[in-house]
Amino acid sequence: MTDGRERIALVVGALIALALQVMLAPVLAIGPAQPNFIAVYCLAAAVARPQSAGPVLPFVMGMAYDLVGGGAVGSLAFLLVLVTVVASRTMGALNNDTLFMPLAILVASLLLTQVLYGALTLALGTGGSLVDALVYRALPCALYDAVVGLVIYPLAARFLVGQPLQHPGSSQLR
Amino acid sequence: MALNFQNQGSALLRRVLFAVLLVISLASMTVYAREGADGPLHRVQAVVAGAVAPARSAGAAADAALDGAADAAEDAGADESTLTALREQNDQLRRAVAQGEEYRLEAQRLQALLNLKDAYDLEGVGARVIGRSTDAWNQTITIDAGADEGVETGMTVMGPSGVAGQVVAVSPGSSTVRLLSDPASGAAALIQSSRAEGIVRGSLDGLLYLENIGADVTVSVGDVVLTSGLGGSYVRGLLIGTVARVDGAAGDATRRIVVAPGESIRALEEVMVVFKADSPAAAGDAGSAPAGDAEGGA
Repeated sequence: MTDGRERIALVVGALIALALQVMLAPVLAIGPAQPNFIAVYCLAAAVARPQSAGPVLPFVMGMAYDLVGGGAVGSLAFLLVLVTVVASRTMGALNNDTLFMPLAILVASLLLTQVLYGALTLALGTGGSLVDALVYRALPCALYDAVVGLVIYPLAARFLVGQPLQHPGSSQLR
Repeated sequence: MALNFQNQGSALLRRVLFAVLLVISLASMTVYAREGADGPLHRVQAVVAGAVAPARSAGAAADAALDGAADAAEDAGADESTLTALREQNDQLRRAVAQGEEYRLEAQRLQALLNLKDAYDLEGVGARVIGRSTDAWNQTITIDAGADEGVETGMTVMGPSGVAGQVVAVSPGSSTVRLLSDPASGAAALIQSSRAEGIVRGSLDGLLYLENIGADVTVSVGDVVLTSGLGGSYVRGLLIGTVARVDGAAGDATRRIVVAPGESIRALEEVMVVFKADSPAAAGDAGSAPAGDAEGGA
């Protein structure tokens, strides 16, 4: 895939994620849990293309999330810039050409994002304890994000990279 | 060699960009946390919230469309040739019944709002809920009344049977309301029977807690909780809810008082933004809150 096409795919994916966050996420809420399509997309993109993942996409998408939602402006942007770098570096180091590794890194980084976001929200003045934040928001949301991530990652790997999900020698995901 | 330089330059640029973006987001967070509700970042957030309000209402329509699609998928299994006429007739009747039921429920909710308006002699503007929070960490709703209708930041918002929250951001055609159940919310409150004052706070577990009540005050399940108006953040004398549970007895330092709100957040469809309240209950004697409303909040 050419660099230009990859960028277009990245931007289109970002716009779709933003639209889903604004229009669909409130409808898909299950109890306290609500999917964070923006975090899932940014992290899936970072894991799917670890060599070319940069900080601009997570920053812009995080800012968009913060401005559209009611949280502190800059908080998710800050976390996504950090966590996507960690996720892409981890993927670069641990990639063993199986489907398990990117999915495991994606799920772990989604959990890390939610936990850190909860801690940051509390630090910025929202009432409640860290345990409550973990039990009532971070863990349910991370679980929901993980399920969404398992759906989005194969799409990201297909459209952002245009490569098969597994090593050429192994059977492909269909 | 040239490629190597290019790669090194690209890596350096990426590192610089990474550091710059981190600093910008950290600075934004700090400014946002320190500035008031009228600060520049809050204003930008309000403008963006106003701009995406139509998209949020489209999301609500998508919710209804999902229900419709499920019904259509169910109907698709029937035999076309024999049941067409009956099905069409049935569809028409079903639509009429559903529409009638929708009107009846809406009239009921609006009547409750009107009753509340009369009971408290409220001045305000009615509004529909057109969107809900896009993230799990904030309990907010978007309503279709904004600065053009006279809504201002800090105004109290009532649901059909009690206080729902407070306006936190206003754009010309819509407003964002932070619900009382949000962990960042807090309303000065008093218990109607004992006149004991405290603060009702939202929490991450979705419950309302009545805090800072004197240790010697006896609190019973069913006690009515009203806004006290202290601090000026909420209009005085409006129903918040009733005491649903008391963990611990009077004198117990770890006593927790759970308040059942008058409103179910998910059920909120129409609200009233309160400009002014002239009733004795709202003006000073909070003890004279309408009994019917107190029951409604139970």
